[in-house]
Amino acid sequence: MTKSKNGPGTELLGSDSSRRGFLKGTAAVTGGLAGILATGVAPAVGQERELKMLVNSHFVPAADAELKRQLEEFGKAEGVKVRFDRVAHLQLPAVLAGEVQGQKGHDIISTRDGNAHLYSKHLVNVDDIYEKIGAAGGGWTNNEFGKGRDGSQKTIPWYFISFPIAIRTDLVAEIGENLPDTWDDVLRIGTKLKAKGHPVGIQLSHGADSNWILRGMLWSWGGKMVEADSKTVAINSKEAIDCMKFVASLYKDAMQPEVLAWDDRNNNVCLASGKCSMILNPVSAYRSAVRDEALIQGTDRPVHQVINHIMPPKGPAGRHMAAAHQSVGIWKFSKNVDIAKKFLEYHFAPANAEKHLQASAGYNQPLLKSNALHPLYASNSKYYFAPFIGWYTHALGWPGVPTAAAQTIWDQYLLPDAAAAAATGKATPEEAIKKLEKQMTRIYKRFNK
Amino acid sequence: MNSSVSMTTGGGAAVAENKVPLWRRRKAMANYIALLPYLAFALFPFYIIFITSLKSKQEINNLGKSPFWTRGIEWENFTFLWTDTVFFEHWMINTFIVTTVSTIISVSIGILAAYALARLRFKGVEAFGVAVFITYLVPQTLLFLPLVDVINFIDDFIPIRDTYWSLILTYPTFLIPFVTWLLMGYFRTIPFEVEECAYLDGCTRLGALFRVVLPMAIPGIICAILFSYTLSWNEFLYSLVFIQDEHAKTVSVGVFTELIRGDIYFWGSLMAACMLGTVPIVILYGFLMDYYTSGLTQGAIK
Repeated sequence: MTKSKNGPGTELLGSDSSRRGFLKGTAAVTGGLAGILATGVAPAVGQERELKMLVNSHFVPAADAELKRQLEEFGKAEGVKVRFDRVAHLQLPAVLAGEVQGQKGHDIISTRDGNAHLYSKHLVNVDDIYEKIGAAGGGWTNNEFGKGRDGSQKTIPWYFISFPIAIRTDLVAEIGENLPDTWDDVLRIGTKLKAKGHPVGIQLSHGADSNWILRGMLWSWGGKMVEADSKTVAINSKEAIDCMKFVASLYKDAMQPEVLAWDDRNNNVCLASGKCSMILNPVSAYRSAVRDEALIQGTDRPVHQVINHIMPPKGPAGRHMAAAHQSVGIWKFSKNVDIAKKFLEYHFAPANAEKHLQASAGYNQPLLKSNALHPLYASNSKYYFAPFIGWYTHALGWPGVPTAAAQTIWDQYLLPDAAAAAATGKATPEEAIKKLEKQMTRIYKRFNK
Repeated sequence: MNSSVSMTTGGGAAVAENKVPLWRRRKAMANYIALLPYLAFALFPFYIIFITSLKSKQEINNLGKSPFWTRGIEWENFTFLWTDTVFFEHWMINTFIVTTVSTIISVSIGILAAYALARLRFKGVEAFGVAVFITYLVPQTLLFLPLVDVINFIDDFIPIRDTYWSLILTYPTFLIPFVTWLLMGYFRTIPFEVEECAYLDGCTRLGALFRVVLPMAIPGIICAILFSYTLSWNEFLYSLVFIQDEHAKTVSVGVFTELIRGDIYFWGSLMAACMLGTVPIVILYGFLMDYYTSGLTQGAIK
């Protein structure tokens, strides 16, 4: 280390250190800082490009690990730093709201259902890569999902999480019945099995499952929450009231009051514990029974061996079910839009999309046609339903598109509240539907402006 | 020992003196019995957390088994936290740093603010006091949105987003009003005459504050520290919004992100994490309980 001839510390000031030099330097630094503070723009010098991705924690940890691996691999190839962050799915809306407010955060975000519409003006238009990815993947199974308010594509559809019936086949066989095909079958079989201590488990509560299943039931009766224009409230109909009457019967005859307080986990536990005879749920209930090595009570037999998945039941207007639709988008405020789009193309390339699908162990159901009949679903008889359930599955807001208003109604659990009121007798089905209509009209009025 | 000696050597009179009257014993018993339901109610959640954390996955999922007891002790939920998460490595350490630093900052500023509002006479002092209280009443769910802007602005110059510094900066926004309000009440219980004596002996105002008022306000300050520590330790929303980097998370958010995956809850590990997460707070309260009680009551009666 060389000593400065001007004394200790002067080397920091440069070679021609003097009082004037120091003052000049200080003025330059102060001026620079003032400029930065006044403009609110940080200097670009020394900033490294970093691609940040935010998703909700996946049900299958391996799926997150695979996605992270792909992001890191991509970052290495492109020479950019990458970061992969996760939050619990119920907390994602709060984080997205914070990022929109501050116009800062991640570049790529995971969104659900009506988020593309809700955050339409904050998301980059991805029509270009949507077309490319769709063409490479044999086309999309749902062309309405992920659109913004202007009709352009705001997010890339990723996968959907379907709701088949997860049923204890042994219990149904014991009472000499066939597997249920209609909602009437569910009521009849459920009533018999409840008497034997094995009720049906469908949440009538503030949980995502309740929201999805009740929408499916409503559609199966020919009811709808909104018209195909996605703007006109259409809940108050004879079909919707009939559906609520059926929900009340199902609750009274085939279920137990605990369903009024369930969250999304409780029906899984009810099935895995051997108590429930059937629930409507993604394959997570079955998978968790496998993971937890749950046994049929009083035996050494694993309960997952006697659980199977079948199509959601038919109602008077056919077989319909709702599903959580996941997508990915890019914030407009991102400084890495080009590289973010490139990553999405990379991730959705058939080879990588397939790896992600495999890692999810069948939980992710693809929205790209080329993967709809993936061999994974033939590898286990429990997944045989998967390639076909998409035919009956609709996104939020059906027969319209998933809109911000539909998302808000979903977020406020208005339909589960109405169903719970009708089921418990706190309101007649007519009153419950009328109240729901009033609540929905207020929300749609706000968003239709 | 001494009493037994006196009882055996002092004769019948001493025995009669030391004997607790029956009515008093009955009263004590009645008091304890009356306390039991409250204790059971207060400790029940902790008991369930503790018992569940020791259960195997099969036992947790078996609704036929009693939820109130365990058939055996399994450590798998704790080992999962150790091997599959960064609970000990990062989340606990981050939480400890954030909580400690933000408590120190908030209590230091809160003491000065509370003293000024309780003792000094200046225009608008009452309004300031009420304003502090109103600030405390603003819910975090509203405050987090403007705070996002503040953190982002600072982050443009000094990268604090996704670090615990973003929490150390924001936690005082709800801690300082609370500490100030709590200590204002406490400072008012300290007789001004004591402080006047200090002035007569040559103390400055700050000298009187540090040498006379603060030593007398120790229970109140410890009470404020305990409350601040607990509020920071349990905080969720700011931590969720400002930090998404897995290694920078605090316990409350880290546990939620890692152990709740869709509709699959890692219930046993969640309970184990909850139990371990309460340990530092329990220890703190255990050591400082007496101060806490007197701090609360003295501040409250003024």
